[in-house]
Amino acid sequence: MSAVGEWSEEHGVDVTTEQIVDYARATGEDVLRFEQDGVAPPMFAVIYAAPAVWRTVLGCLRGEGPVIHAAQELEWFAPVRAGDRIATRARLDHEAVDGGKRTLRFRSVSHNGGGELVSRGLWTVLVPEGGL
Amino acid sequence: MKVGEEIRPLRHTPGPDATRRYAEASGDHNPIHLDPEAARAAGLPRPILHGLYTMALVARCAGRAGDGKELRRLAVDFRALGFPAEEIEVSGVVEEVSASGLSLRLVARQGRRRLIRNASATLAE
Repeated sequence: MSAVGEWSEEHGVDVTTEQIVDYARATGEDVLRFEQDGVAPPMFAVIYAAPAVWRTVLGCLRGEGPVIHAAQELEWFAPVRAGDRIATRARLDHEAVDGGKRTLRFRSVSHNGGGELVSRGLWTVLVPEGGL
Repeated sequence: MKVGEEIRPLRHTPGPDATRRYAEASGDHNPIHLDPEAARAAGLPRPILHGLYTMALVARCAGRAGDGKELRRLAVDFRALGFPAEEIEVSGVVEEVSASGLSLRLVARQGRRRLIRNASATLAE
Protein backbone atom coordinates (compact mmCIF):
# COMPACT_ATOMS: atom_id res chain seq x y z
CA MET A 1 0.00 0.00 0.00
CA SER A 2 1.49 3.33 -1.08
CA ALA A 3 1.52 5.98 1.62
CA VAL A 4 0.11 9.45 1.02
CA GLY A 5 2.88 11.73 -0.23
CA GLU A 6 5.38 8.98 -1.03
CA TRP A 7 6.80 9.41 -4.54
CA SER A 8 7.06 6.38 -6.82
CA GLU A 9 10.15 5.29 -8.64
CA GLU A 10 10.79 7.20 -11.85
CA HIS A 11 9.24 5.69 -14.98
CA GLY A 12 10.95 6.68 -18.23
CA VAL A 13 9.42 6.78 -21.71
CA ASP A 14 11.43 7.36 -24.89
CA VAL A 15 9.18 9.40 -27.16
CA THR A 16 9.12 8.49 -30.84
CA THR A 17 7.51 10.11 -33.85
CA GLU A 18 5.57 6.89 -34.40
CA GLN A 19 4.07 7.10 -30.89
CA ILE A 20 3.09 10.72 -31.40
CA VAL A 21 1.52 10.02 -34.79
CA ASP A 22 -0.33 6.92 -33.52
CA TYR A 23 -1.70 8.93 -30.61
CA ALA A 24 -2.67 11.86 -32.85
CA ARG A 25 -4.39 9.51 -35.31
CA ALA A 26 -6.28 7.68 -32.53
CA THR A 27 -7.65 10.95 -31.16
CA GLY A 28 -8.59 12.50 -34.50
CA GLU A 29 -5.82 15.12 -34.57
CA ASP A 30 -4.23 16.58 -37.69
CA VAL A 31 -1.59 13.86 -38.10
CA LEU A 32 0.44 15.66 -40.76
CA ARG A 33 1.19 18.52 -38.37
CA PHE A 34 2.68 16.16 -35.79
CA GLU A 35 4.63 14.21 -38.39
CA GLN A 36 6.22 17.43 -39.63
CA ASP A 37 7.22 19.18 -36.41
CA GLY A 38 7.62 16.18 -34.08
CA VAL A 39 6.00 18.02 -31.17
CA ALA A 40 3.47 15.96 -29.24
CA PRO A 41 -0.10 17.19 -28.68
CA PRO A 42 -0.74 18.21 -25.05
CA MET A 43 -2.82 15.16 -24.18
CA PHE A 44 0.10 12.94 -25.21
CA ALA A 45 1.00 13.49 -21.54
CA VAL A 46 -1.18 10.49 -20.74
CA ILE A 47 1.18 8.29 -22.77
CA TYR A 48 4.31 9.10 -20.78
CA ALA A 49 2.72 9.83 -17.39
CA ALA A 50 0.04 7.15 -17.08
CA PRO A 51 2.34 4.13 -16.53
CA ALA A 52 3.80 5.65 -13.35
CA VAL A 53 0.36 6.74 -12.18
CA TRP A 54 -1.49 3.47 -12.80
CA ARG A 55 1.30 1.50 -11.14
CA THR A 56 0.85 3.72 -8.10
CA VAL A 57 -2.94 3.28 -8.28
CA LEU A 58 -2.52 -0.51 -8.27
CA GLY A 59 -0.32 -0.19 -5.19
CA CYS A 60 -3.22 1.51 -3.38
CA LEU A 61 -5.91 -1.09 -4.14
CA ARG A 62 -6.93 -3.77 -1.66
CA GLY A 63 -8.15 -6.34 -4.12
CA GLU A 64 -11.14 -4.27 -5.26
CA GLY A 65 -12.48 -4.52 -8.81
CA PRO A 66 -12.27 -1.92 -11.55
CA VAL A 67 -11.78 1.70 -10.55
CA ILE A 68 -13.60 4.64 -12.13
CA HIS A 69 -11.56 7.51 -13.53
CA ALA A 70 -13.55 10.41 -12.08
CA ALA A 71 -11.51 13.51 -12.83
CA GLN A 72 -8.32 14.65 -14.49
CA GLU A 73 -6.25 17.79 -14.47
CA LEU A 74 -3.14 18.38 -16.55
CA GLU A 75 -0.76 21.34 -16.80
CA TRP A 76 1.81 21.74 -19.56
CA PHE A 77 5.15 23.52 -19.55
CA ALA A 78 8.08 22.67 -21.89
CA PRO A 79 7.00 20.98 -25.15
CA VAL A 80 7.57 17.25 -25.65
CA ARG A 81 9.29 16.19 -28.87
CA ALA A 82 10.20 12.94 -30.58
CA GLY A 83 13.58 11.88 -29.22
CA ASP A 84 12.89 13.15 -25.69
CA ARG A 85 13.11 10.82 -22.73
CA ILE A 86 10.36 11.76 -20.28
CA ALA A 87 10.62 10.60 -16.68
CA THR A 88 7.54 10.60 -14.45
CA ARG A 89 7.06 10.12 -10.74
CA ALA A 90 3.65 9.70 -9.13
CA ARG A 91 2.29 9.71 -5.62
CA LEU A 92 -0.95 9.25 -3.74
CA ASP A 93 -1.91 12.78 -2.82
CA HIS A 94 -5.22 12.38 -1.02
CA GLU A 95 -7.58 9.62 0.12
CA ALA A 96 -11.20 10.00 1.27
CA VAL A 97 -13.96 7.52 2.09
CA ASP A 98 -17.63 8.37 1.52
CA GLY A 99 -20.19 5.62 1.99
CA GLY A 100 -18.99 2.60 0.07
CA LYS A 101 -16.64 4.55 -2.17
CA ARG A 102 -13.01 5.41 -1.70
CA THR A 103 -11.73 8.41 -3.62
CA LEU A 104 -8.03 8.46 -4.37
CA ARG A 105 -6.21 11.41 -5.91
CA PHE A 106 -2.77 10.98 -7.42
CA ARG A 107 -0.23 13.56 -8.50
CA SER A 108 2.24 13.09 -11.35
CA VAL A 109 5.26 15.17 -12.31
CA SER A 110 7.13 14.68 -15.58
CA HIS A 111 10.51 16.06 -16.67
CA ASN A 112 12.50 15.79 -19.88
CA GLY A 113 16.11 14.64 -20.14
CA GLY A 114 17.32 18.20 -19.60
CA GLY A 115 15.51 18.37 -16.28
CA GLU A 116 12.81 20.73 -17.55
CA LEU A 117 9.30 20.32 -16.18
CA VAL A 118 7.03 19.23 -19.03
CA SER A 119 3.75 18.42 -17.26
CA ARG A 120 1.99 17.93 -13.96
CA GLY A 121 -1.19 15.95 -13.41
CA LEU A 122 -3.89 15.25 -10.85
CA TRP A 123 -5.64 11.94 -11.41
CA THR A 124 -8.78 11.16 -9.37
CA VAL A 125 -10.24 7.65 -9.22
CA LEU A 126 -13.22 6.17 -7.38
CA VAL A 127 -12.95 2.69 -5.94
CA PRO A 128 -16.53 1.35 -5.68
CA GLU A 129 -17.23 -1.40 -3.17
CA GLY A 130 -19.28 -3.61 -5.51
CA GLY A 131 -17.69 -2.99 -8.92
CA LEU A 132 -19.02 -0.63 -11.57
CA MET B 1 -12.04 36.92 -28.03
CA LYS B 2 -14.40 38.43 -25.48
CA VAL B 3 -15.76 37.16 -22.19
CA GLY B 4 -18.96 35.21 -22.84
CA GLU B 5 -18.11 34.54 -26.49
CA GLU B 6 -18.72 31.00 -27.69
CA ILE B 7 -15.76 29.20 -29.20
CA ARG B 8 -16.03 27.14 -32.38
CA PRO B 9 -17.55 23.78 -31.35
CA LEU B 10 -15.87 20.52 -32.23
CA ARG B 11 -17.99 17.66 -33.54
CA HIS B 12 -16.44 14.25 -33.83
CA THR B 13 -17.89 10.76 -34.23
CA PRO B 14 -15.57 8.09 -32.85
CA GLY B 15 -15.42 5.19 -35.29
CA PRO B 16 -16.54 1.71 -34.29
CA ASP B 17 -12.86 0.82 -33.79
CA ALA B 18 -12.03 4.01 -31.83
CA THR B 19 -11.49 2.22 -28.53
CA ARG B 20 -9.17 -0.37 -30.11
CA ARG B 21 -7.11 2.34 -31.80
CA TYR B 22 -6.95 4.40 -28.63
CA ALA B 23 -5.97 1.33 -26.59
CA GLU B 24 -3.14 0.55 -28.99
CA ALA B 25 -1.87 4.14 -28.95
CA SER B 26 -2.24 4.71 -25.23
CA GLY B 27 -1.50 1.25 -23.81
CA ASP B 28 -4.79 1.26 -21.87
CA HIS B 29 -6.18 -2.16 -22.73
CA ASN B 30 -8.83 -2.30 -19.99
CA PRO B 31 -11.32 -4.85 -21.43
CA ILE B 32 -14.36 -2.71 -20.57
CA HIS B 33 -13.28 -0.56 -23.52
CA LEU B 34 -12.68 -3.45 -25.92
CA ASP B 35 -14.61 -6.61 -25.09
CA PRO B 36 -18.44 -6.66 -25.14
CA GLU B 37 -18.55 -9.55 -22.66
CA ALA B 38 -16.19 -7.84 -20.23
CA ALA B 39 -18.26 -4.67 -20.54
CA ARG B 40 -21.49 -6.58 -19.78
CA ALA B 41 -19.82 -8.33 -16.84
CA ALA B 42 -19.03 -4.87 -15.45
CA GLY B 43 -22.68 -3.84 -15.81
CA LEU B 44 -22.21 -1.82 -18.99
CA PRO B 45 -24.38 -2.21 -22.11
CA ARG B 46 -21.33 -2.34 -24.39
CA PRO B 47 -17.71 -1.21 -24.53
CA ILE B 48 -17.25 2.40 -23.49
CA LEU B 49 -14.89 5.11 -24.70
CA HIS B 50 -11.81 5.85 -22.64
CA GLY B 51 -12.42 8.98 -20.56
CA LEU B 52 -9.04 10.34 -21.62
CA TYR B 53 -10.08 9.95 -25.26
CA THR B 54 -13.01 12.29 -24.63
CA MET B 55 -10.71 14.62 -22.72
CA ALA B 56 -8.43 14.69 -25.78
CA LEU B 57 -11.36 16.01 -27.84
CA VAL B 58 -11.95 18.73 -25.25
CA ALA B 59 -8.24 19.59 -25.38
CA ARG B 60 -8.37 19.85 -29.18
CA CYS B 61 -11.44 22.11 -29.09
CA ALA B 62 -9.86 24.34 -26.44
CA GLY B 63 -6.47 24.42 -28.15
CA ARG B 64 -7.74 25.69 -31.46
CA ALA B 65 -9.46 28.63 -29.74
CA GLY B 66 -6.10 29.99 -28.64
CA ASP B 67 -5.17 31.99 -31.75
CA GLY B 68 -1.45 31.27 -31.24
CA LYS B 69 -1.69 30.69 -27.51
CA GLU B 70 -0.98 27.21 -26.19
CA LEU B 71 -3.12 25.03 -23.96
CA ARG B 72 -1.44 25.24 -20.55
CA ARG B 73 -3.98 23.64 -18.24
CA LEU B 74 -7.09 21.51 -18.60
CA ALA B 75 -9.24 20.09 -15.79
CA VAL B 76 -12.26 17.86 -16.38
CA ASP B 77 -14.79 15.80 -14.44
CA PHE B 78 -15.92 12.62 -16.16
CA ARG B 79 -19.70 12.52 -15.68
CA ALA B 80 -21.24 9.98 -18.07
CA LEU B 81 -20.15 7.06 -20.19
CA GLY B 82 -19.34 7.65 -23.84
CA PHE B 83 -19.79 5.11 -26.62
CA PRO B 84 -18.23 4.59 -30.06
CA ALA B 85 -20.14 5.43 -33.24
CA GLU B 86 -22.16 8.28 -31.71
CA GLU B 87 -21.30 11.93 -32.34
CA ILE B 88 -19.65 13.91 -29.56
CA GLU B 89 -19.97 17.68 -29.50
CA VAL B 90 -17.56 19.81 -27.49
CA SER B 91 -18.60 23.42 -26.92
CA GLY B 92 -17.31 26.20 -24.74
CA VAL B 93 -17.35 29.86 -23.78
CA VAL B 94 -14.66 32.36 -22.86
CA GLU B 95 -14.65 32.97 -19.12
CA GLU B 96 -11.74 35.34 -18.73
CA VAL B 97 -9.39 37.30 -20.97
CA SER B 98 -6.12 38.78 -19.79
CA ALA B 99 -2.91 40.12 -21.28
CA SER B 100 -1.31 36.72 -20.89
CA GLY B 101 -4.09 34.50 -22.16
CA LEU B 102 -7.64 33.32 -21.72
CA SER B 103 -9.73 30.87 -19.72
CA LEU B 104 -12.49 28.72 -21.16
CA ARG B 105 -15.36 26.66 -19.74
CA LEU B 106 -16.26 23.62 -21.85
CA VAL B 107 -18.66 20.71 -22.00
CA ALA B 108 -18.62 17.48 -24.05
CA ARG B 109 -22.01 15.99 -24.95
CA GLN B 110 -23.01 12.78 -26.66
CA GLY B 111 -26.71 13.02 -27.43
CA ARG B 112 -28.35 14.05 -24.16
CA ARG B 113 -25.50 12.80 -21.99
CA ARG B 114 -22.88 15.22 -20.73
CA LEU B 115 -19.72 13.14 -20.79
CA ILE B 116 -17.63 15.98 -19.42
CA ARG B 117 -19.02 19.10 -17.83
CA ASN B 118 -17.45 22.15 -16.25
CA ALA B 119 -14.16 21.52 -17.98
CA SER B 120 -11.84 24.43 -17.41
CA ALA B 121 -8.99 25.33 -19.76
CA THR B 122 -6.26 27.94 -19.66
CA LEU B 123 -4.41 29.11 -22.76
CA ALA B 124 -1.31 31.29 -22.67
CA GLU B 125 1.87 32.14 -24.57
